Amino acid sequence: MKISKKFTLVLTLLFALSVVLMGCSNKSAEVTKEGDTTEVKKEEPKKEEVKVEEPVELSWYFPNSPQQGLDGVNEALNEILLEKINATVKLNLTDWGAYDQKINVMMSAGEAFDLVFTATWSNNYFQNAAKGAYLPIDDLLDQYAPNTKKAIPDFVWPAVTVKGKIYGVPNYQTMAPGYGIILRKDFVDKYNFDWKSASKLEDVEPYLEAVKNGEMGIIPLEYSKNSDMFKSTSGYNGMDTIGDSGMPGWMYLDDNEYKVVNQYDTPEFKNHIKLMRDWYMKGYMRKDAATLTDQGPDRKAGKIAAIFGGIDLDSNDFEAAGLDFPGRFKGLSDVEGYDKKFGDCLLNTDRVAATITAISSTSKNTEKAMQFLELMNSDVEVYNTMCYGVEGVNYKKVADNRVETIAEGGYQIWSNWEFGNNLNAWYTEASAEGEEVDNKGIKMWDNNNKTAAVSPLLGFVFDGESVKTEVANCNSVIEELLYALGSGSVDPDEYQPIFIGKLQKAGADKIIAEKQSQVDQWRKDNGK
Amino acid sequence: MAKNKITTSKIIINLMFIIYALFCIVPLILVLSISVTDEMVIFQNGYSLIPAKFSLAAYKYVLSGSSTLLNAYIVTIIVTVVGTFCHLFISSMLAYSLSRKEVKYANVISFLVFFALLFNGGIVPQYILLTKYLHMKNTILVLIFPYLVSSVNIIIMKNFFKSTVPDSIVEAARIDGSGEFSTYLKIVLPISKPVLATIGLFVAVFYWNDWFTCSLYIEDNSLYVLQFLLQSIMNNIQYLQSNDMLQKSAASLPSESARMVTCILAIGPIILTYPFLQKYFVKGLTLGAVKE
Repeated sequence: MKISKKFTLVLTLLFALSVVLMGCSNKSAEVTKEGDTTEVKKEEPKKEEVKVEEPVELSWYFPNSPQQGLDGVNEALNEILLEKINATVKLNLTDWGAYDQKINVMMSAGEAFDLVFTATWSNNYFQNAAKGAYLPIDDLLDQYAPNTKKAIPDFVWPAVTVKGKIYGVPNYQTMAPGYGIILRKDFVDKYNFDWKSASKLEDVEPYLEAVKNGEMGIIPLEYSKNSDMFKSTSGYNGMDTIGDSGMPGWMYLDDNEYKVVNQYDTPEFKNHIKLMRDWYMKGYMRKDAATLTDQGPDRKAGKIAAIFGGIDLDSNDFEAAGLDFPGRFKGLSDVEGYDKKFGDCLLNTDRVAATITAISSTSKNTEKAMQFLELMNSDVEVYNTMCYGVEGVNYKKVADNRVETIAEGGYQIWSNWEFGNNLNAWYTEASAEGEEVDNKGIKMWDNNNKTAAVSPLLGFVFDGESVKTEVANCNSVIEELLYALGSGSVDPDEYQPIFIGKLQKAGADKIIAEKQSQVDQWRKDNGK
Repeated sequence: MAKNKITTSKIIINLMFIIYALFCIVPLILVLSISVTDEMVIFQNGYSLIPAKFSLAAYKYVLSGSSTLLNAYIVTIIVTVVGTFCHLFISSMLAYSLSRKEVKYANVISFLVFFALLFNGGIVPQYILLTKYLHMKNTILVLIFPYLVSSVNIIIMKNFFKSTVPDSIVEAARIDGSGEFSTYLKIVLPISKPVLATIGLFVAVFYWNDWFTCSLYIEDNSLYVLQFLLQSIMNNIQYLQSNDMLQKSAASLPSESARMVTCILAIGPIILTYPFLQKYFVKGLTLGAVKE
């Protein structure tokens, strides 16, 4: 009996295996079927004698979270594309966590695909362009994408130019980060804080003090390791980062000599940590600020009264445009707030090259790929189908250029910046009320881009390959001391010199020298 | 039968095991409790064993794409079951052959197996092989196939067969007219339950938890495995909450409790089937022990 039981087991097993294999053969059958349908479609235009051209299928890889309704959106998109450029696209949405490695493996394997999302922070654009994974598209751009080229302002293109060639189409969007403080409206009103005239961090002290004395259980100022106030706001201190913002080696914006300096050894840093020390001792920040890595719970629980960080458009900008803006605190703690920008916004390479679509050098349909990019960047219908899906299924229209997404539709991707030119995007329920009238919302950030200060280093990209060891060493020093200093947890007079000393021992000078030589070379190449 | 006497030593032993059992079970209960607690309460009061405010919002969010999740369960279960059985079958066949003296070049093959344990081609050649030559990208097969044979498991099994299966049994079977394959199937496998149970457990856990293969080779929604999907859901929440533009709509998303929900969903089925499996494992293990 027992033996026959085992035998049945093996039989089941073989059966299961054959089912799996059958599934495989089905798949290949499907592929040929697809081929058939394309052939049928090929015949149709023949009859009409318009064009004898087989529609090609482009493949596009980009990172995001799995969307249930993606297939439906893909179909809708293909319908439009077939009509407009006689091509279809296969949207290959890859999970954030796996994207970099997956694309890297695909490129190393020489797999054929057409379009790929690339950036400074994900699937590194500059490295891949340098190693030849992307196609130089200068000629294709001129030939097939005149509207795209026209719509994107001139200051953008140098930032994606590698060794004189353009390797990708940047998605035009808000590109000029500024720095400032966001405050809670209820506290500001309660303590009559004059937020409009605050122009630097020090000006906020009366507010923090009032909150500290008047509100139990509220943390006046947020600090966490993720967002050190000095490290993440170089522009506020009149400097621009070179490569990773934590690494030693920044440059003053007004320095005509392009001298790379150690930002942790500047008067700005010393003043900043002195201020932080003062505030920390007064109890404006959490006692364990130096080791805190997740600020989410505090934000959600509404325990934070102020956050200093990146802001591009503030409450004043919205007011000037006649819009009612609830402030960034609305999204964090569900309370209204005021946002105040300190100083000008700054265009730098990091943000300008933050979202790019490139054509793979293994692509077999480069012209179609470029025509597709042209549509994505200039055709309102194609672009918004990609952003919001199908009308009635994934969103409903509430105005000509404003939609409301439908949660049950299974396509809420919220990533306009990932696909094309944001000038063509529709507004959603996430936009402030009235933004869609006269296209105010988009005009605001577009203007902000155009009036922002331009970093002298726009277009320069640091290659840290030769100083990898030093970077790793410096990272551990920064991990050890920067956050303790930045949160005011330790005495700056005693520990700042130690910090500098340890950085130097870890090879900071070598990193700075390397940055300097690359900057000099770049200046020579570009005549700056 | 004498009545159970309560002695000090019994109390101590029982107490020890009660405490040990608590150590095992309390974290699980905590996870379950957090998963049904209202998100705001967690941030205000921290974790507690009994939910201060009951809420199923996190389950609702995670299950909102429920057909995908259900699908992922099915795919994962198929992959785990089929993968584990095939792995045991194929690996044990190879291991058994290698353990027999009659097999010519057994040593050479053994060395090759051992060699593959120490060196492998790496991820890019594997990718090229699977996608370009075997055309397995985007099929369920790719989730099973690459892990059907494992050098370590073969070596463990080989040693087990060598030490546990006496030559005389195989010889006796041969004299009785049994062919090599039926000897393996009807005599060797039944007395090798302990090793099959152990390796089977390893392999099943590996298949159940493997998300990386899916992330690399699967682009079709309907073939996502559970662990990959759960991870994506968590990534999605994090992304939505860190995105300036969308914080308005993302502020209400549960993150802390959703994390625990994914945890419950990932271990749920295993926990449910464990009582049945456990019986089998214990039986298998003792059976083997008694025989030897």
